[in-house]
Amino acid sequence: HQTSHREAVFRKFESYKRDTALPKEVKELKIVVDQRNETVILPVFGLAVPFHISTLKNVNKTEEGEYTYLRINFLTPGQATGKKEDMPFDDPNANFVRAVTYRSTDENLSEIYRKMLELKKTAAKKEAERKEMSD
Amino acid sequence: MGEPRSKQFENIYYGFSNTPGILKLAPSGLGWKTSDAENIVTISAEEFKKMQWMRVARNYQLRIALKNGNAARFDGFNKDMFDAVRDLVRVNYKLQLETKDLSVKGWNWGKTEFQGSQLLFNIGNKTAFEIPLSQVANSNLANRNEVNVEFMQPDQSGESQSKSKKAPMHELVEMRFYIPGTLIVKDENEEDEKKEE
Repeated sequence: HQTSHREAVFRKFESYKRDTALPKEVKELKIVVDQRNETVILPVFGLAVPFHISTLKNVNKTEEGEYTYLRINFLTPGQATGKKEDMPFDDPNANFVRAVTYRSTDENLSEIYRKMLELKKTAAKKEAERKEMSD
Repeated sequence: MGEPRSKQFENIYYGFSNTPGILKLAPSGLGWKTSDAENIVTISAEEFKKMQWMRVARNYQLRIALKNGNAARFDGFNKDMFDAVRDLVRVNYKLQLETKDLSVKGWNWGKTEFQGSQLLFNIGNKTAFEIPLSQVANSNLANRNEVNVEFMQPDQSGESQSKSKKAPMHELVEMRFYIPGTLIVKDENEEDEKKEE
């Protein structure tokens, strides 16, 4: 059944139409933030795997010895997030990637972290504007 | 088309290694070695079962499914090498070079599926990523609907080269899946059963 809430409609998004559109930097096997396509690309066993910023919930950065850890949490059903819980999902019964953790001694990881936060902020702002317009 | 022949490709990576080498596709099989000849891989053509071409992080990959059930991966091909590789594969090994499209939609939902020694995450009918089970150090049920998978780190798995300080890797440490509905994973034995399906 559908809720009567007009806003609670899943809005389709897509990072790339085809794999040839992935940015060149992915060949370094590092995390890439593609601002233009609002996407974070993660190296997963040799593949460059895009995650659209709309799937991202938050990112945590921690330091442990020589390593910096980045934990990326994704939006999934079943997360107690208060009022956001009415967020719609395309397929709530699918399997979801809920979180990934990377570690590195790469000093650029802090910059990547900062870019992710910035992209998330920009995307959230755009989404808020869109909602305002549709009201 | 023409006669069977040998051809070399430079700057090709074998498996998850970080040292490029030269791959030679000869009628009798393949050979790959790093410039210092410290790492050498040879596989006889008789072992080849299936050849695939796909977009990976390091450009394009030639994946060779072997008759023993394993797969050999060679990364670093340019897109425009496809025709040359396809022709060699056809003439030398009498095989079709299949192209495999991956999902780049950017979604975090799909379907997990065990295929051989890999766990696939498929979005629609395309794979978004693969987890070789050989790279899994540990997995557990974090709670009723969550599965946590921890990965081998390079120094443990023995598959990658010594870590270079100049080019530190971004190492995937763990991944957590949310599996709604009925998930029955009680112990490791049961997980093994799942793998065999």
